[in-house]
Amino acid sequence: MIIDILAGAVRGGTSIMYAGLGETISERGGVINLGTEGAMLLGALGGYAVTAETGNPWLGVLGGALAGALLSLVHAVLVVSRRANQFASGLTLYFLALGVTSLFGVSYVSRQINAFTPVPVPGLSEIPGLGPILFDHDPLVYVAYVAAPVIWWVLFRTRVGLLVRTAGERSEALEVNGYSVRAVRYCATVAGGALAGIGGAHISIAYANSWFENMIAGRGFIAVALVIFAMWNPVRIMAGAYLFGAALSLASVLQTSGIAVNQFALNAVPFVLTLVVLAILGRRTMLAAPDELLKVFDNSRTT
Amino acid sequence: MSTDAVARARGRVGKPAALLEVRSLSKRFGEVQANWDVDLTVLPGTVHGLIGENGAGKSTLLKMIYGVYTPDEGRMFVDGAPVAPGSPADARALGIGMVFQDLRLVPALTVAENIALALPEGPRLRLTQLAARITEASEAYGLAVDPSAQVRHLSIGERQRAEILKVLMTGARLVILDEPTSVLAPQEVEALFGVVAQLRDRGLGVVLVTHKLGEVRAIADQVTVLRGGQVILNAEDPGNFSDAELVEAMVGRRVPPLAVERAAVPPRDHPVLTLAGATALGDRGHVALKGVDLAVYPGELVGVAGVAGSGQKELCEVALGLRPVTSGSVDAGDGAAVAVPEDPVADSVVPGLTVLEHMVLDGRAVPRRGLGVDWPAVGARTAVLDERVGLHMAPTRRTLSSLSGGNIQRVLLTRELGQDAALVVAAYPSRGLDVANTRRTQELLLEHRARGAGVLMVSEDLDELIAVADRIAVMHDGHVVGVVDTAGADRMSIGRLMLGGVA
Ligand SMILES: Nc1ncnc2c1ncn2[C@@H]1O[C@H](COP(=O)(O)OP(=O)(O)O)[C@@H](O)[C@H]1O
Ligand SMILES: [Mg+2]
Repeated sequence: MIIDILAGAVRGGTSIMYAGLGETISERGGVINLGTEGAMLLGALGGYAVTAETGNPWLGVLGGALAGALLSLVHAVLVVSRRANQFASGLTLYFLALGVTSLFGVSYVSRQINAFTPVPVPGLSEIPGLGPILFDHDPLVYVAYVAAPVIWWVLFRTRVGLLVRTAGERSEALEVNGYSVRAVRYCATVAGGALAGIGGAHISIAYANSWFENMIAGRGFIAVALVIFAMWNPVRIMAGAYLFGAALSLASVLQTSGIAVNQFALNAVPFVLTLVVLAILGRRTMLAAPDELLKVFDNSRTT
Repeated sequence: MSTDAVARARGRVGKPAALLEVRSLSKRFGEVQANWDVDLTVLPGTVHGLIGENGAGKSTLLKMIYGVYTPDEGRMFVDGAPVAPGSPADARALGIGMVFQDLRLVPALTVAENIALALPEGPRLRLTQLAARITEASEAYGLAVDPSAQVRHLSIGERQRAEILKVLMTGARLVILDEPTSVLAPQEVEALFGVVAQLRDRGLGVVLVTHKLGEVRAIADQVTVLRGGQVILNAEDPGNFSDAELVEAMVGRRVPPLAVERAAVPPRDHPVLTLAGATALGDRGHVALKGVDLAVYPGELVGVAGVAGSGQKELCEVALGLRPVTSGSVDAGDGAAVAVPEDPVADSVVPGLTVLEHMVLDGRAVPRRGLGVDWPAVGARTAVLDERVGLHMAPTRRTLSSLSGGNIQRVLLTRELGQDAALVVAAYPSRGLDVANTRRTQELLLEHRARGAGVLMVSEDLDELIAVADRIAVMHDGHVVGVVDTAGADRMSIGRLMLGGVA
């Protein structure tokens, strides 16, 4: 049963990881996107619809990424170009996405698709314990293994990453060096939304293999909180996402193994976990926060 | 060939070609003519001192040269060729580098990453390779700095060295330093001038902005004076002018020295402020004030010296009860305190409110009419205050947040220093002020002292502290590392304390 829970943690944590990685990029660039949940919803529906229409789940992933990117582009226009309040814009976009996906998703409810199926890694999946936990999953899980370290490398070892981090830390230093803060922020926000969209697509075309209204069920908000716990570090996002995945999978494993626990209580576990971690870390994580993000908090208070 | 042209050609042969030549530059910000018809010529292998009061237009001139602002009028030449830098990147391509007054490094990044940001190199950051080049350059110029250190953890002096290194590594031949010394301890100033002299010897041109005449005399080959956006003295040899003449050129009239005669400090028995082992956290949660013991007695002015960010802000806030101590104690008696904050714009300015409205935001009784404020009475009270304080603050109907830093400072100084209190806490009171208003502010603080108040004054200008304080508490890394009697105090030993050494 432990193995089931851990395998479920990896599977269930993957969508949170994609969204968390995306939000890390966006926030490293100085933009908080509370619309992550909405980008995931759009990604889930977009991915599902494209897969249903084309029969190819990889095209579905692309569709999910585009849908998430589109929502974040709207966010970028509002907060980067129009300097709107980041919290208000993000939340509003979430509600917009919730409405839009509920409306246009109706025709996909209970429609069958050619979903991703587990692809055991030859050899590695035979390892007792570790094999089923890590190497018997759908392809997007494997991509995520690589995505976290790659995003870390891009952020910390390339010029593009340096520009993103500078946009989030002290944007005027970018301007002085002849770069456009706007361009960097647009790219970071849109890239973040695309990753959230892939996370959403993972839910609909690899995890649940179905579409239903509000199917993200708060994972996007957990991802936003996770970025804070992980102190804006992609590698820690990976660990944190699996922790939340474990909380999610605990619920379903207990349920399938016939142990009677109140379903609503189980569903609350990831959120209670979030609150507990927030309470433990307190304001300590803020020490690692990009400086321009702190300005966002300050501005929302004073102006 | 006409004789005229021959003369011109000969003139060109006789003098080295100017590295930078600026002709008739003008720049206007709304109602402020920040620069008017400004000429500046910088020769290779020279240090050009640019002096002028706060607001004279020095930074504006330099930012136009560096491509941050576009001039309204005028022309620029580099090596005799006309140029129009439209951005700092353009200026850098021309070999112009600038170290801003407020340094532009990114605190969360390492020194190497900050330098990488300025170098036009490939998409991969080769940080180890870059670190080796930084170390090499830092040894060549005597600018010691650790490439892998996060800028956040560097002292102001180290940050400045990193910035200069960055400018040099981008290939600058003209190095512009905007008020580099105002935040340094005297030893650091000497070290900086050592580097500047070395750059000059290598044939670079250096523009050094300052308002300290001693620094002009120490390092500048030529001096240009700006006042009210106009050139008053153009590329003169500082040796040909007395201090009084240079001050007059800067200020426009003679400034009498501060009266040094003042009453002795009464016997120190009942302090108006006592800190015992006071420890407090800074905004980012680190320990910013570490076990500080300090007492301020009635009738004395205690100065606080230290390199910027050594805990001065937290000391003031703890003294005023604005920041809790995590251990130790603070006793500010029961007499009222008045305060000038370190960052007035963040701490005391309410965006959108007028000057007059700010005059009732000091926690003291307000004239009332019915349920509301009696604004005419506040206006009358404010007029009396302005007259008495003599800092000539802006019209009371103006929106405070729309005023310049110096004008905001004068409004807050008028409000705060116009009150009688047992304890006066002033953080950088003369920041942004011109010479005359700085002088008046110092007099005001001394008037409070003469009245029997205890005054705690933070300044980054050691000369100012030595001129007005009875004792100077020197801070380093959150500690008060020494309290020095001003009589007979020596700048260099205070400087050593500021840097964490022993006096
Ligand atoms: N960006 C700006 N917008 C409006 N006014 C400005 C701006 N920059 C400078 N000024 C004004 O121009 C004048 C000259 O400023 P500055 O060049 O910074 O002087 P200095 O560096 O000699 O102290 C001041 O009155 C200042 O308030
Ligand atoms: Mg200036």
